[in-house]
Parts: sequence; structure tokens; C-alpha cells
Amino acid sequence: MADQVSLAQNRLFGESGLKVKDVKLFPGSSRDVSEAQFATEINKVLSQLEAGDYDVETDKDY
Amino acid sequence: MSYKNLYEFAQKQTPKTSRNIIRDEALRLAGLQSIAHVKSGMDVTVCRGLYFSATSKTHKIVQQLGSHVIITERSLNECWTRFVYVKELMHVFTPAHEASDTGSRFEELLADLSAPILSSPSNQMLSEVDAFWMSLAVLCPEARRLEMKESLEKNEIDNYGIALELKIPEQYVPRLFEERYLRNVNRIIK
Repeated sequence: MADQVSLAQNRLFGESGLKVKDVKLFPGSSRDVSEAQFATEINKVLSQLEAGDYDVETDKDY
Repeated sequence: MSYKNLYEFAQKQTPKTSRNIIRDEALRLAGLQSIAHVKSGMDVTVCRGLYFSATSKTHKIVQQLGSHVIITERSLNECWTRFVYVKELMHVFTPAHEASDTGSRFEELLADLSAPILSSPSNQMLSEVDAFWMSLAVLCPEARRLEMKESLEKNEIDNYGIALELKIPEQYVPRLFEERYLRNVNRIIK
């Protein structure tokens, strides 16, 4: 699981990655979450975005 | 232009404050053209949302969605989606020294988010905490907050009623009336 942090670092900051200048997250309901678990979720999200597996939110106001 | 300008703008809004109006003003103040909002799947016990600002113009995600992206978990209800979205939106005002802009600063942020007790949070973590207070303060104009506080004290309203009016998660309503609320907001807007 520790590799998930390295993978996320590479995808966010690596030469072929997004080269982000900031990344932030909104934690979930559990208080007992490891760095690797956070990184796993970030990697899942990035994979979904790359695969087009996401829904673009409309301009609906709520 | 800074968060303080957005805060002052938000005082003129009537709850429930339009997230689109807040978004448009935040983007204008931050000098950004757009910010994408997409929904994807996450384990909501771990993470409810994510924000990033990317600079690689050749990356597939940037080409599809642009540089600034907010992702919210797709199963969240509108109330939660709205709050997570606005909290992540506040990061358009994050100063450079509080950004997670390197692999090591990102790792520090994850370590802080995982820590059971924060003794000396990183700048990146302070930005996360500030964004929470910033979002509450733009979704609840101060004049209305004071009225709500009085109504709560008179037992005329409860947290659920306030959550419905503001359309924020009920569990965050008590934060509006804690002593640290104004201390934090005033520190951020000074």
C-alpha cells in the first residue's frame, strides 16, 4: 500500500504527470485513515478522470 | 484580490447562498477563467472530494477538464456536494506558501490528515483547515449568523433548521457558534 503514495506523487508531480501547483482534499467520515488510503483514493480518482469515467457537473445551482 | 473580497461579497447574499454566484465571484477575484466540477467514485469514509491545479498542458486530464478541477464523490447528496465544492473552491485563494506543490509537501499533507493529533501542522494542512472556515463564512452571512445564534439561544430553532436554510451538512452547524468561529474568520480576513 505504501507504493500508493509514491504513485500519487508521480502522477501529480512527476515529469509525465499533471505537474500540479496545488492539491487539496476533503477527508471522509472515518477518523482513522492512513496516508496510503488517502493516496489510494487520489489514484482511483485520477484513473477515473484519465479513463473518462466521470460525470461533468452541470451549472445547476444548489 | 483575495478571500476578504469574497467574504464581503458573501455578506450581501441571502441564504441559501447560490454556489454558482460564489463560484463566479471567486473565479473573478482569483483571476481564473474557469474551474471544472466533476463527480467520480471514492470511498467516502476516506475522501469526499479533491481539488487540484495542474500546469501540464499536454496531460490528458488537463486537455479534457482544464487546469483547475474540483472532484466530488458522486454519491454525496446536494447538501454535502455543495459544501465540499465550496470548501475546495476556497483553495483558489491559497497562497503559494500553503500549496501542496511538491511530492514532499503532498506527503506532509497526507501525514497531517492521517495524524490522530496535530501538534505542528504543515502550512498545507493549515490551508485545509482555513478553507473549512472560509467556506462556512461565505455560506452564512454574519448578520444572519447572529440572528440564528439568538434564535438558538431562545430555543426557537435547531441545528437541522439552520442546516436546511444554509444548505450545509447539519454536523457543521455547531461550528458556526463556537467561540473559535469568529476568531478564525477574523484572522483569515484581516
